[in-house]
Amino acid sequence: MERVYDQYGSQLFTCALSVTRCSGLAEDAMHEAFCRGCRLTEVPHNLKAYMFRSVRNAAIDQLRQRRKTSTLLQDYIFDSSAGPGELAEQKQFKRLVADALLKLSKDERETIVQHLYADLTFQEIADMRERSIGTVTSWYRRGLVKMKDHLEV
Amino acid sequence: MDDFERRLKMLPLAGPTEGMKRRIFGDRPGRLWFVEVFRLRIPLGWAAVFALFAGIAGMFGSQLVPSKPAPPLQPTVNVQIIRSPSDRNLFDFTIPAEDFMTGELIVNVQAPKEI
Repeated sequence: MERVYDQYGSQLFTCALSVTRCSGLAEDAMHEAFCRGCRLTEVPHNLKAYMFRSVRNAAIDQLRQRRKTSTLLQDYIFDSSAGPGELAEQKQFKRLVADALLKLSKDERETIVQHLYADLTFQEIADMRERSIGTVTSWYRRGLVKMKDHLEV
Repeated sequence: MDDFERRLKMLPLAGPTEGMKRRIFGDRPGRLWFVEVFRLRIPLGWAAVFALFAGIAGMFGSQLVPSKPAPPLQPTVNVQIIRSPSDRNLFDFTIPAEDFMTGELIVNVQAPKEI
């Protein structure tokens, strides 16, 4: 489990954050999913897919339980602290992308985050969401078109 | 992946806090180096080739090292006292005695055989 954390920890966190939009809730979801994973008596066939699904489910549970008390991140999944070399224009772009992502449907948004930022393949996303690869790909493409329109690219 | 996707991908992501891993797995003592070595997955074929070369190198290496000359062989000396009037062990020097080595002394020196 520790090796899974080292390998996919940040990607899992991004996925959890994309659902909760709150770093505290995302960490709680990760904690819950890994604790659940540590209690498994048998290692699942595809441990990576299992952990991504488990973190997503835990994040949805966390969001359902504590929606009212949590403060939502302004920059969604992106690092809100500006780096030393970050220009105002880049910061603005980050904010616009975050806004554009939040305007998408839940499926489109999650698929874009999972594919683009968590480096999951469409097949892995399809397995995790229990949907066909065609559905997942169309969510992704439709989401990207909407984002381009929003950002006027 | 087009330019737009590439541009999106370049945005810095928020990461979990430093204490996240500790929160999940707790504080564990560091693994010993040899445990880490055994955790490495080395193909069996490569390990066999490495062992073979190490053996050949060891064999040639041992021939290059000059062997030390053997120490000179020492003769064996047997000392025996016969027809002694005393009953005690004359070679026991831990007991004070007035008489000293009374009787006939036989000394037999045996030269070592060269192999």
